[in-house]
Amino acid sequence: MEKKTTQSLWFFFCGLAMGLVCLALGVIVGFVVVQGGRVISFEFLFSFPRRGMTEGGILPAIVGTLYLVVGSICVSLPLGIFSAVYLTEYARPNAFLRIVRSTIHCLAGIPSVVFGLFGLAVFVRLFGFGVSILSGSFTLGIMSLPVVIASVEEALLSVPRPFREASFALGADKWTTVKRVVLPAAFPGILTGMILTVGRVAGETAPIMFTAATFFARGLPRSPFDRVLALPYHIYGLITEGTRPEKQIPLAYGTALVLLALVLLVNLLAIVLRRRFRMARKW
Amino acid sequence: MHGEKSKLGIHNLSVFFGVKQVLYDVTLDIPENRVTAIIGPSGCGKSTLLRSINRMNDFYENLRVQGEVLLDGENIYGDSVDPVVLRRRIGMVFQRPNPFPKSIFENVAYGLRIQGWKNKKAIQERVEESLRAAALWEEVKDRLHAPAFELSGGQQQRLCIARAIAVEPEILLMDEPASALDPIATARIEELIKKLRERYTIVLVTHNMQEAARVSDYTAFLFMGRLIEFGPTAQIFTNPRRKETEDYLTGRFG
Repeated sequence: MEKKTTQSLWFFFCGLAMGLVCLALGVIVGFVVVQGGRVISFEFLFSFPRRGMTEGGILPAIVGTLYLVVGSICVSLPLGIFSAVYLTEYARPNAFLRIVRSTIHCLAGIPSVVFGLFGLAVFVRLFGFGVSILSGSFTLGIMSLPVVIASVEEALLSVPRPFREASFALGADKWTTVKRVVLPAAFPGILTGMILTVGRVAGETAPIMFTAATFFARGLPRSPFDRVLALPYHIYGLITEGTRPEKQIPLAYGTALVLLALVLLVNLLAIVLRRRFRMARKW
Repeated sequence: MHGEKSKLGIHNLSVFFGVKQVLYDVTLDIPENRVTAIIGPSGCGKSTLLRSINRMNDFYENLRVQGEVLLDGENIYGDSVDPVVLRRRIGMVFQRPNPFPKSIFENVAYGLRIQGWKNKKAIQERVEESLRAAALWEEVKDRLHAPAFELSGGQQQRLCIARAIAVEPEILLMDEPASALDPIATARIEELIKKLRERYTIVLVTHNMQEAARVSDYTAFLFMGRLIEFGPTAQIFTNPRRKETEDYLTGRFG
């Protein structure tokens, strides 16, 4: 076959693959928007479910997801930042460090339902937190650790070495340098990594299934030991436990649309922030 | 030595990175309040020698140091010496300007803050003083809180000098401070070096022989990790004793 023909053939196939991907994405988003858009209203967003989840809104699910996201960040951010600082700034590159790194990478590959079981065994039972926001936050936080550590590490490594050298040469010790120079310089990267993690945590169902979520709650949660409704689990509940599918399935689409919008919004925020910081820094 | 007071005594210094020896038995007395230039071809160990003085080589794995470096008579490689404390006495300016991603003011204040300075007024005064000493004050006094990266390369390097002298070190190490700058910015830095000599002992690494001739009082010629010749700059440049020095200065190699 002639070279030029091969060229255009492969160009066509690659373009086709890309087109299919865009099509799939468009169909999914379009479907959810069209189906869910019918039920979205002020009342849907700001009221409680009524009549066995066949009517009413999803306020407690929105609030619950918010709590879980914030709670999981409180767990994963400090742990993730300090671990990443240890890995990049303190640890000497040796076999042990390589093992730790690959263990963290393995953690990222564990199915999320396994984290759910782990959370059930450890936080719900062993620590006695019960099925609660607390247990769910810990479970989600630990699940997102590998991603947080990886993104913080990347942000720390992108801080140029001369900054560190300048600080050391002025008589700063390692921790002072990390605290005053490296972490502030890495902040934009850490922030965007964090926001992307939020997007993922918000949509997780399996880890909270046994640790935090419930199908029904009277009022909003009042303490960290309460169970909560959460958007992804609410969708699951509407679809599987429903008695009036003709009423509940549209509600599920509405909930899905809210979840999708939240995640997109969060990702958009990450992109905007990254652009702003990238323009501000010049190294 | 030439009737000068020695600030820094480098005695039989050998430096190894793993099995690779970079410096061989270097002995050299650096006089107080003078500019001492270290010249030599690339890879001759100039930077390693400079970084041995404030122990910046400590960050490399497998570093091994023999011999001693005496700062006012005390060996800085002694067991009781904390390199972090040592570096407060020995400032450093790097090859490429490396201000922190902070404001002009905060760059200069950094060394003070990490030493625990809290008094706002005292910090402001010292920042102004340092910027003046680095001949940068007039250019930045109206925008002290602008990011340091908005300055030109030459201004950034003078900012780095201001940052280094804000903590009042005794010695200032400069690692080819003008090599990344244009001729006009270079001239300003050189002028500044000559002025700073009154207060600091300066060690200047350069591969630019004209620069060494213009600003330094003493010159050390380093070749393949060995100190070939050391003496007053005028003598080294007009009447070198060693053939290697003459060959290097006349451009026969390097």
